Order: sequence, then structure tokens, then C-alpha cells
Amino acid sequence: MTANIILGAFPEAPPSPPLSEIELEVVPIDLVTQWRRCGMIADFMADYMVYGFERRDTARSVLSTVVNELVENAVKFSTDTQSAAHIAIRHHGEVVHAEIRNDASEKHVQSLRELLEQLAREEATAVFRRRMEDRRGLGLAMLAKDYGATVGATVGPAGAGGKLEVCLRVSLSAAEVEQR
Amino acid sequence: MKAERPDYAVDAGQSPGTWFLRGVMRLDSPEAYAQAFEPIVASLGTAQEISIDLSQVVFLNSSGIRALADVLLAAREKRCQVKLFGSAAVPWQKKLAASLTGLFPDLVMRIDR
Repeated sequence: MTANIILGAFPEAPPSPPLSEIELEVVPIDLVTQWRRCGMIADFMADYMVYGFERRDTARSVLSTVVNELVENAVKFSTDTQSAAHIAIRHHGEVVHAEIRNDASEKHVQSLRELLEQLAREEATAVFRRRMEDRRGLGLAMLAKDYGATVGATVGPAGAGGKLEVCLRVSLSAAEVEQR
Repeated sequence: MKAERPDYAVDAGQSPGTWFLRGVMRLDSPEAYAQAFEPIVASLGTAQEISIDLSQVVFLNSSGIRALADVLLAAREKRCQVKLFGSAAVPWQKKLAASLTGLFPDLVMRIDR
């Protein structure tokens, strides 16, 4: 068996089960044909999770923002738009994890590797600024810069047709989710 | 088939050069944002100063942040001052202020409670 490859500072799940969680399976083609479904999923998952927070309006806004970026990212870069993607939010108490698993191409994985390694070793503000100037995608750098998120990924062994399963995970503190 | 209403609006205010953005701005591409912001960009050539009120925008995705930065770049080229207004009650708007003022030192962005 080949082990997963880790990209960047992949946040490991705490040993105990989450206090609360939601996981959805979607088919990217549905979101490609109706883009607003990305936002619908993000809003629904955020609404579901806000009961674990005191400042619910703030938590809803932050969680929806984070999940929307992950979903949009996966939809844009899924190799097979008919192959399911799995989206989850897990509330672990002090930290909250949001993640998405989907099939991606080797080219996308290389691009992700470059970004996540930069985020792991540099100030997120510098990475964000450079990507703004270079006109590259801002979503993940924005989550790191604006919400102090740790962002990392695992990549599974190549499957049929060279498809790679990428699990992209974002970890942010519960205090950040509530902007405390 | 009936066309779906967009989740957002880009409206001109009563005073020249004032713009109000409202709703959920989670457009799918830079091209979609270029189209949405086209009236704002067109107004840059006719005024020395414009204002854009974002306080009623519930969400703006990262493509929208880039598009807004493009508006600011176009304004800089045309020597047009831009004032942005946001709300502290909307978490992303406070974050946006820090992002944009870091990149555009001349930008005036006011965040009200």
C-alpha cells in the first residue's frame, strides 16, 4: 500500500471524535451547471453548524466563507465532474476543521503543492500579496491571511486514469470562527 | 425558460460616482465580475472620485476580491480616488479593509458599526 503524500501543514484531526459534524457528498457537475449551488451548500453547512457557537451570525458568515472557497476550488479543479466530492465541517471544541475530498489532476496537485508549501513556511500576507500581483487564485491564501487558518492537503495514490484523490483541510480556531 | 434573478445588485446612487453593491456576490469567473462591475469602471473616466458602498454585500468570494482590486487598479490609472464603505457587522468586510489598504495605500475604506 502506498501512503498518502502530505502537502503543506496538513492539520491532523484531534484524537477524540468531533463534538459536532456534517458531511455532504456532491457531484461537481451539478455545481458547474448551477454555480449558485456552491453558495447554497456553504450556507446550509454553516447554518447546521452554528448551534455550536455563541456568536451565531458571525460563525455563520465565517464558516460559509471558508466552505464556499473550498467548494468553488474543488468544482473548478475536479478532473471528473461526475465523480463525487465530499465536504465536511467538524467542530472539535477549540478548533474547527473544514475539508473537501475530490479527484484532481497531477497538474492541479503540483500547483496546490507550491501554494501550500508557501503558506506553511511564509507569512500568509506575503503569499496573498504575491498571488494578487501574479493574478493567481486567492481563495486559500485569503483563508490563511484573514482567518489565521492552517491549510494543508493529503494526496492519495493515483487511481484509474491517473486521477488523484486530494483531501484539502482547513483548520481554524473556534475563537476565530466567532471573531472573539 | 425564465431567467434567474441574480443574487446581487450593482446600483448607481443619486449622486454621480456613488455606487451601492448589495446581496450575495459569489460569481463564478473574472469575466462575470468584469461584467457586473463594468458600470463602475466606466464611471472612473467621468469623475475624480467615486464611492462604493459594500455594507449590504453579505458575501464576496475571492474572485470578487480580485475583481474589486482590478477596479482599484483601473481607478489608479485614471487618477480617480475611490472610497469604500463597509460594515463591521460583516466579518469579511473588516478583513477586506486590511487586505486592500495594504495593497492600495491611497485607498480610503471606512468600516462603520
